[in-house]
Amino acid sequence: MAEQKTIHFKIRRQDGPDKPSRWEEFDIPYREKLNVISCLMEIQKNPVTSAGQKTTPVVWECNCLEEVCGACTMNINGQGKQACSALIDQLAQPIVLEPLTKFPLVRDLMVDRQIMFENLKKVHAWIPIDGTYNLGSGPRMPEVKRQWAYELSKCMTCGCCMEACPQVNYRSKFIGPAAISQVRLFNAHPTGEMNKHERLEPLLDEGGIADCGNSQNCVRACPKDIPLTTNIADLNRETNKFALDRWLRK
Amino acid sequence: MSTTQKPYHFLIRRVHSLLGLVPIGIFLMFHMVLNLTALGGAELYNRIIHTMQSFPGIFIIELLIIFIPIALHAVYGTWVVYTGQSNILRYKYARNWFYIIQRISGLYTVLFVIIHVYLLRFGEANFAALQQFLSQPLGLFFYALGVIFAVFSFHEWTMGFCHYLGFDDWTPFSESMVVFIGCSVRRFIRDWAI
Repeated sequence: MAEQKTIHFKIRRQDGPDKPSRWEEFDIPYREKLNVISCLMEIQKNPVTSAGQKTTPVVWECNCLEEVCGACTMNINGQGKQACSALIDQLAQPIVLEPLTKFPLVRDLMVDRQIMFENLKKVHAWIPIDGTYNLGSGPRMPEVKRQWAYELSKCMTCGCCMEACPQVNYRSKFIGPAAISQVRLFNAHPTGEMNKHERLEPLLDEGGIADCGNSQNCVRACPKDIPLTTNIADLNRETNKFALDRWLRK
Repeated sequence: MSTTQKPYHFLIRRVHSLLGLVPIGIFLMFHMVLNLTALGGAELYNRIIHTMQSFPGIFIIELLIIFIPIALHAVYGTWVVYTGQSNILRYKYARNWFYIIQRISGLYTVLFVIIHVYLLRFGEANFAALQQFLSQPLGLFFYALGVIFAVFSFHEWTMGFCHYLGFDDWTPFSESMVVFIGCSVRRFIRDWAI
């Protein structure tokens, strides 16, 4: 190769939650088939900016490296994506890396997505099967339905939908599309259906499903192609029925 | 099942949304249809206005069916706009544009309606007055934009409503609504422009 190709990075750095943020630029020697994580590893090995200044290694989170855990989600060229499946050969340069904006920042590209877990707890996104005696086997789930539900279960709480949603921000309490979608998943399960009301109820609360602004960004931002807006639409119908029914029978 | 929470939030949001159709959306369509009488000339138009204004109990009807719902819808709607945070610069999706335009159109419509009511309901409303107002380019722009935005806001409502019923995205119903309203608006604007 005649000339040395490089990959140019622009990364938003911040040393801590209350520290000021700054931009740092890095150049990495080009190799084929790199992803954003492998470039961040290169920076970690040799934390020197494009200007030749020594700096601290960039902090980020990652785990599975195959787009199933969601830990490495960050804003790549302005949009929420997983750094592991963001391939350098498919990205426009300079590659701009920023932390997700909808979650409290820990350091550099690392954020605290605890709120997503709290939201799952709020909507009871699980199926209670514990009893003081043997409850026996549950009802069977039709195979077709199982295959459909599997697609919804691919959600990895990565936060891309939260990042893309204009209704999720510091002024609103909206729990976001991911948690709402999980309600549909667990309500579709034959055993989970028995506790349907426990999941629909919190959706009526402030920050619940009524706070959806129908911008429909979530469904396009979802890396797992979960039909988020279809799920929200379905739960709109379910919560309407649930609320009306509860009101009339009170 | 026990309920410890207050479901008012859900109720308020849904009522706010529903007000967009009953009565505001229906009133909007009624208003648009009445505007078409301008096609019949100044005399017919003025007569219709006079008939409407001399309707017995019109004040109560206006207050209950028009003013209060619009005021509630506008005040709560403004709060809803405040709780959103657009990210159109990063996510340039068509639906995201609709989201932001709906919010802008809502705010503009509030302003438009206030001025519109001040000028015509409490001022002098007749063919000549409107003709004079609309013959100024700025007046025409203000009015045309007001009508388009009011209708756009209503169009977004039909989309949102389909979503509330459990239908995802566009449906033939919402589309036919838009075409219907769009046609009356176009006629309205064309007539006034002439």
